[in-house]
Amino acid sequence: MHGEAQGKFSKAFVRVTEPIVFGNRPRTLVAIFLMTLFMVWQALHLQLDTGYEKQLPLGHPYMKVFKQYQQEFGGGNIVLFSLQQKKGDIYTPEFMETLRKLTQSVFFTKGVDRARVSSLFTPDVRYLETVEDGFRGGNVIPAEYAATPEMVEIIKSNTAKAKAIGRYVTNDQTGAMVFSELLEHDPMTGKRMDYLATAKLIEDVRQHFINPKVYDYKLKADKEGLKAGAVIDSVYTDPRKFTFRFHKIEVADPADAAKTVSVRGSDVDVIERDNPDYNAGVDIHIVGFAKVVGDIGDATFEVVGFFGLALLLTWIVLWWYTGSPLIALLPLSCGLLAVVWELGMLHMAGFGLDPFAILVPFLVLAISVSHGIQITSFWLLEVAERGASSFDASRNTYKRLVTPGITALVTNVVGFGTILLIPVGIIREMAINAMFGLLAVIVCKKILLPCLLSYAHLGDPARFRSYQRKRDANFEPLWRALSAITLKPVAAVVLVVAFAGWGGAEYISKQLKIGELHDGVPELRPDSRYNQDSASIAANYSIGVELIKVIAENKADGCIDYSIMEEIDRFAYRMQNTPGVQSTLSLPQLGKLVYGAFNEGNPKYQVLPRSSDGLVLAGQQFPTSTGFLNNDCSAIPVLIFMTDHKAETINTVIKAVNEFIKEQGPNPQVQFKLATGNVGVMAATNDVIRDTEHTVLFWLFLCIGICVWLSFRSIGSLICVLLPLWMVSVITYAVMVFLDIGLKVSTLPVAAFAAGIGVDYGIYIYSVLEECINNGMTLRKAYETTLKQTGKAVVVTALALAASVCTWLLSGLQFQVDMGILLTIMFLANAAAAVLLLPAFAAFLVKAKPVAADAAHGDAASA
Amino acid sequence: MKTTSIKIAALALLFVGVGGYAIAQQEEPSNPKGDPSETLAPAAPPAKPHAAEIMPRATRSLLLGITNAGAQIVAVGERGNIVISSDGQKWTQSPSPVNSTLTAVGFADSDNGWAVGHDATILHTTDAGKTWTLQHFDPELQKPLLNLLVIDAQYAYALGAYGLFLQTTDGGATWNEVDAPPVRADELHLSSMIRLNTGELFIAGEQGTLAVRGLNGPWTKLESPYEGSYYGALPWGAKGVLVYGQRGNIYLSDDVHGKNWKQIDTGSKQGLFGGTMLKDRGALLVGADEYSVLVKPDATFQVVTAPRAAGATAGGTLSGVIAAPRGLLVVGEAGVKALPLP
Repeated sequence: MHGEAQGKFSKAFVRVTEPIVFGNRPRTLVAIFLMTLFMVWQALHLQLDTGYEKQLPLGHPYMKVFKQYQQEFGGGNIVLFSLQQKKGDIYTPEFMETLRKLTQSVFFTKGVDRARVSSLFTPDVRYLETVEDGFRGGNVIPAEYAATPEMVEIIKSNTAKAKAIGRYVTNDQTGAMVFSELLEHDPMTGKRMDYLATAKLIEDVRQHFINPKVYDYKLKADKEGLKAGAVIDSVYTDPRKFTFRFHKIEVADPADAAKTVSVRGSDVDVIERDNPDYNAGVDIHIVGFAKVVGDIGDATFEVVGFFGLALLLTWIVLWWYTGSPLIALLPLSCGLLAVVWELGMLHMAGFGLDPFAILVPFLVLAISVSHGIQITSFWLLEVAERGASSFDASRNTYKRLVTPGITALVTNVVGFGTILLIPVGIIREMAINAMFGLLAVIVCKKILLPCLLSYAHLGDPARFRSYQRKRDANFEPLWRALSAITLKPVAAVVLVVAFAGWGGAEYISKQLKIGELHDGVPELRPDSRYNQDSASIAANYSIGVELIKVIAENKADGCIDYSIMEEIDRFAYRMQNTPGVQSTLSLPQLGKLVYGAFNEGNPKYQVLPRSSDGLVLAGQQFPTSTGFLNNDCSAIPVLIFMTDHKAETINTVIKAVNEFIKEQGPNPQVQFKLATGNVGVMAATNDVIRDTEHTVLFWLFLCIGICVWLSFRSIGSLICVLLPLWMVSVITYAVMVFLDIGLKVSTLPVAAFAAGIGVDYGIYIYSVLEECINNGMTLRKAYETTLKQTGKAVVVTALALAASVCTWLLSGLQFQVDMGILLTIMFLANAAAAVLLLPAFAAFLVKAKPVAADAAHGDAASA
Repeated sequence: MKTTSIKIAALALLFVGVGGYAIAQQEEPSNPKGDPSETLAPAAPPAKPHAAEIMPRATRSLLLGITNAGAQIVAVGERGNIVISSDGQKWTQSPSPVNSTLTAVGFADSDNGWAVGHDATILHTTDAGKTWTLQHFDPELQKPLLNLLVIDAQYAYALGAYGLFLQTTDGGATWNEVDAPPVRADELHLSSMIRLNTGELFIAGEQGTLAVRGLNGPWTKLESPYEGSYYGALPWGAKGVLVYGQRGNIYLSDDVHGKNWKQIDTGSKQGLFGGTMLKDRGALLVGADEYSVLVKPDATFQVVTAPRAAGATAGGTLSGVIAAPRGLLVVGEAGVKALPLP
């Protein structure tokens, strides 16, 4: 009965669409060709682009706090520059000169929030001391600064008095920090920051001091008011690369400072000269979101290389499979077209390609190739086994596979759609990106490929057929052996093993951690420059790069109320004593230092004075611009610097915060609000992932289930297709535990993507199996036929995809490596589950039909 | 060097602060004493002491006083933290009934001792620092106790800011104000009290305060060679004393009554906050930014601040030092730390 319904729907669909596609093939091809041209044009305009805000889980309560105080206390978009002396301490005139220039060049970097640039050379770093006749205080770097040994001695003593060691200076005083924060939106124009360009500027700041050379752009000819021979710009990173000629250089218009003149790389000569600011004795460590984005962006070229490698490997597998390099090229080029369409649509929808989503095109290619192999395989079967002409074979293939194919694709679209449930901008963008890709796959694979195949010319049909037969003959014994799984005793054994494996995987997957499991930035390799910089900063300063800010909300003028300040101080101390916390910093803590300084620097006075006059005295050193209090002092952030951002560490700290809040009882005078700072964002993201993970899986499987039900309309089909899929997703989690990969923004979609690809296999196999049974075959015979028709395509697909993704293990991007491992395992596991488990379930759930039901399917079964 | 002198508003504010304490006190809404529900009076100073929290980082937080109590070493510091150790390496935190910052600790014998601190806190132990009882606590007074001198298990003195000067003659059952007008009249901070080798008592404090009391006589104020603050004093020779304090000032005299003060000019401007006598080697003084200097018996000096090796962390300001079984133990902003003998 279900066969009937499906048959009807299928036939109706084919009846309507087939004439459109095949009625006038040139028209179809021209239409697709024009569309493709348009998409290529669109895709060419696509740019790598990202934003810090996209990473934020905006619905989370922490993010309300984040947004509320972003203006006053900054967000999490920090960039830290640590200037490190290679030999000796920082107190040399040369080092101080470099630090001064570094502070300046950070200050003038486009995109940097100038109000938040801070180093020994900025006026917000002050010291205070008591002398016999009063107090003396001032900037750590005196106003009459000059790079002399005497001045350096003064700076050394002031630095100690300012309690700057550990914050502005490394604990061992061999390095100094320049803090900065980026503005996501230009305050003048409101335009969003171009992170990749900013990352280049940040790198140029580093090269400014560690590159012995500087590169001037000298204009070759007059251009828009600029004179020939004029040096229009200088950079410190060697620009002379192959692509430089196309490089755009923006120069301020000499006539109108508000305008810029755009000059191409080919318009200028690059003149190399000695860099006057070069300091051989220092190195600069840089950390921050923008730098991560830049480093990932730099790896894009490499990613494109892997894309090429994946294409090549897939082509070789297809060549072996089809026996013809040309025919092998067809599904491959259709796959490539799907990616181009995807990118085009992405640009049309107003998105950029996010470096964090750079792997989505790979997945689209993978899915596309997987469908292409199914279609090509069936076409080959028609041509080789039944001697059909190219055109007839194409039409038959279309008729036969368009419905399961579109079912599978729609299931995929819906599956990826469920990822939209995760309220993090970047994940949603990935889902949309993937859905565009699937739409493109439907057009390119289901329409274009059969059309193209119908034109495929077989030079020597006989030789071609014999190649196919010979290759199939090799598989024949394997298919026969595998078909034994449909025998109940064998099926029982397979299922017992599978369930045992499932149980084990389920147990292991319980240990799956949410969030980061490693130091540094997981997107980049542990030995990458960035992660080394990050480790060095974390090791040498008491503060670090991992920061949670808890906002202590209280009444107005809370900072002159002893009981409020004492409570905040007690909170900070409690946090300081929490494992994983490196140090804490807050107004009361600094106030104690200042109060001590006012009392002749005597450490016995490093206390919070109980009188509000004393608190006024201690607090007046800290204007609002320091970020340690807001205007009316009703909000005071407590900065908690952590040793790392591992999920467990974050959980421990968050738990300690919540315990303190619980101890406060109801209606406390100080309300500690979680959380801002970069780790505050991570904590919120981890929460969101923890909360939505199960919802996403539920909707994913529900949606896939509905799609499967609509196409096959039986409980048996649901179990046969869904259970193996579910088992594989559990096994994937277990593998993640085993490989120490946490569930995070970049890995969460993998489960959905993998299920999306896995369901294809199940749907193709089940649809053919069902048909064969409807035609009256025994289950074993039906399965053997299924394997012959579509099973080999599944195996080949899995091999081709696994081969292409396992090359990612060589990538310089850690998350590509992680994804590569996960996807390789999942492609293989899904294929194995579909080929081995589906028939085992079918052995118990699908009843063979005694009589052939539908003559229309007869020819398919006769093979 | 021409640094911005900001004695302007800051100094004024400090004095306003100082004078303002009394005013602030009067301005407090008169909260009926003993009202158990203190939920609705956040501005009122808590009359009740809160116990110190036992925390793993107590030995790495600000510690201000350290002493040898026979077999036990005891150090005290911020938040009422008291840590004890038998070897100077492994420390345990003792529960303290109060979380006010403790500034000094002293023992009469291996078991009986006192610790003093902010909020006019006085704690007493009879079991070598394992447990402590609160003998004196008066936050409303707004005067911290800065130091103490323990004579024996019954007799002890505690002294502090604005001339605060207490004593007990009954093991701490009662603490009474000391009648010593020459020392207390100006309400200056009293930083340190010691017993000279003659058996006389000696006090050093703010604005060059130096005073001595004969074995039975009254307190006599001494003329000071320096107008700044002294933070400590050590007995020097048979009849003399060494005083040290603000901006690296060190003075010594062979005879405390002799007026022949000799300045030890080390060239350093770092405040000196703590010191101890090392057997036969002189006085070791410690202070701001990990600075330490040894004043030898022949009145020469040697700066012993170890040049900081690359990778070593800054120790911050030091507040106290004792000779330990092996080397020295110093306390300060970075907690307690072992150092080699100079």
